[in-house]
Amino acid sequence: MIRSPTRSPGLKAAALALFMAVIAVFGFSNAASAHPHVFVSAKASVVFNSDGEMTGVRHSWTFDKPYSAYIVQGLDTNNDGVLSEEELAPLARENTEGLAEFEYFTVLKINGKEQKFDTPREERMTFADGNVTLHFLLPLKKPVGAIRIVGLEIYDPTYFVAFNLVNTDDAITTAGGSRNCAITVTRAKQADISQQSLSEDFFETLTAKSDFGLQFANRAVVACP
Amino acid sequence: MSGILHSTTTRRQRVISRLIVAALAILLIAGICALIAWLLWPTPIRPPQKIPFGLAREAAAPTSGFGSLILNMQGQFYKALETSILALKENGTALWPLLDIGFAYGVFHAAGPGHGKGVISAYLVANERSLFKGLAVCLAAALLQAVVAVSLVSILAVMLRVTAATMNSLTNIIEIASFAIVTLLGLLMSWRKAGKLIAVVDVNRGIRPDPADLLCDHVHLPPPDEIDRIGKWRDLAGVVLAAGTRPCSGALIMLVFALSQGLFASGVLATLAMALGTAITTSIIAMLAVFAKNLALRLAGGRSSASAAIGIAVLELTAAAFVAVLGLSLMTGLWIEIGST
Repeated sequence: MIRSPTRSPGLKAAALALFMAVIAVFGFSNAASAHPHVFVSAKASVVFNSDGEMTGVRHSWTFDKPYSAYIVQGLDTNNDGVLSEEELAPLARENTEGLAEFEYFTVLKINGKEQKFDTPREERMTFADGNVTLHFLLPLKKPVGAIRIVGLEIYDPTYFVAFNLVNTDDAITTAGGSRNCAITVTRAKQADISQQSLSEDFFETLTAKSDFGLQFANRAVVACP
Repeated sequence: MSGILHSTTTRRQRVISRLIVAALAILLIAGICALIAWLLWPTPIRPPQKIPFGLAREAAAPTSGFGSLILNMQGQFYKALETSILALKENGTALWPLLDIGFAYGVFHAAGPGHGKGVISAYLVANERSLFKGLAVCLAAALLQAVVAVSLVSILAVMLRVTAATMNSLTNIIEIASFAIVTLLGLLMSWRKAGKLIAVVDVNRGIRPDPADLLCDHVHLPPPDEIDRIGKWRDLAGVVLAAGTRPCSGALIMLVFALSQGLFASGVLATLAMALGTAITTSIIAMLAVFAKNLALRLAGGRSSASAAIGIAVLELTAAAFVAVLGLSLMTGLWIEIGST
C-alpha cells in the first residue's frame, strides 16, 4: 500500500467532511424524491346561475393512459370488458373527496379576491379510449354577483400532477346565465403575457402564490363587461 | 469465582459503553443531518404529503429550480415510455425502442435522490473496500426492485385482479418493511462499529480488547477467512434487501399499463432494462463510496498508526450511524404521514 507521508489531522478531517457531504447529498435529499406520475388534460367551465351570479367551476380532468390503466384495474366488476359509470362511481367519489387536501388544485379570484370552495358535487368518472376522465362541480361557498373579472388557475404547486389545459377552444368555457364574457387562456409553460394590455385587476389575478409550480400553472381570465 | 464475577461485570460495562457509543454516534449524525437539512432548506420541510388520486405513496416533490428540472425530465421519460408501449401495440416489432427508453429511464431515475443509494454507499464506506462486491450489491438491489415490481403485478393484477387501492396498500406495507430493514441494518452496523471503536481505543491504551467486541468485526487480526466470508455475504444480502425491497411506483404503473395493452411480457422486459439502467447509476455512486473509503484509509496511512486506526473506526461508525439515522428518518416520515391521515 502507498503510505501518505502526511498524517495530518486536517487531511483526515477533510476526508471525513467530504464523505459526510456525499452522504448528506445522496441520503438526505431522499425526502425530495417524487415523480410527476400523473398527467391531466384539463377543461373547466365557469358556471353562472340565472341571476348572473357565479356559482362554481365545473372541472373535467382527463388522466394519461398509464395512470388510467393503473387506477381502473380490477374495477370491471361484471367482467364485460366495459367500465361503466356505475363501476367507476366509488373511484370518482374517493378521488374528489381527497382533493380538499390539495385545495382542488384550483385558485379562483373574483374581481381580484380569492374564493373558498364548498365540497365538490356531481362527481362522476368516464372511461373512453384508454383514458379516465373525472368530472365534478366545484361550488363556491355561496354565489357571487357583480362579476367583472374572474381569474382561474389550475395547477399542482408540487408538480406531482402535471396539469395542462387541452389545446382546443373549449378548454375554458362559461355555462349558464346570460353573461357575455371574453375568455383569455394562458397554458402551462407559455406564460407570455407581455404583449397584452393589462389592467390592474389582471395582475391582481395572476399573483396568486409565488410557488414554483406556478410556472406550470394554467391560467384563464374571464372578463365580463 | 470472584474472577467470573469480575468478568461478567466488565462484560456488562462493555455492553453498556458500546450502547452509549452507538447511541451517541446516532444522535450526533442525526444532529449533523438536521443541521445540513436546515442549511439547505431553511424553511421547514413539509412532512411527506398525501398523494392525490390514490396513488402509492411517494415523498413530497422538491420545489427548487433543480428539482423542477429533474421532475420535468422524469415527466418526459414517463411520456416516452407511454408512447413506446402504444407504438409496440401498433407495431409488434418495436420492442427495442421500449427497452431503450426503459434503460434510459432507469439511468436517469436512479440519479435522483433515493434511500437505496444512501444505504449502499454508507455500507460500503463502513465495511467494504472491494469494488467488485460494491457493484454486485448495486446490481442485485436494482434487480430485486424489478423482481418485486414484476411479482406484485403478476400476482395482484394478473392472477388476483385486485384494484389499485389494494395494490397501493400492499405497496405501502412493503415500503414500511423496507424502511424497517434499513433501520435494523443501521442499528446493527452501529452496534458493531461501536464495539470496534472501543476495541481500537483499548488497544491504543494498551488494554487487551475483549474478544466479544471483536466477534462481529475485525480490528487488526484478520479473523478466520471462512467465517468472515459467510458473514460478509449475509451482510451484503441485508444491504440488498434494505436498498431494493421497495418497488418504484413508476414501474408498477407501466407494468399495469403494459398488461392493459396485452403486452405484459414486454413490460417485464422493459422493467428489467430499467433495473440495468438503475444499476449503472448506483454503481457509479458505489464506486465513489469505495474510492472515498480507500482515500480515507490512505490518508490515515494504513493501519499501523494507532490514531489513524481510531480515525478509521470513527469514520466507519459515522457511516453506520448514518444508515440508522436514514432508516429512522424514513420511519418517522411515514409515522407523521400515517398520523396525519
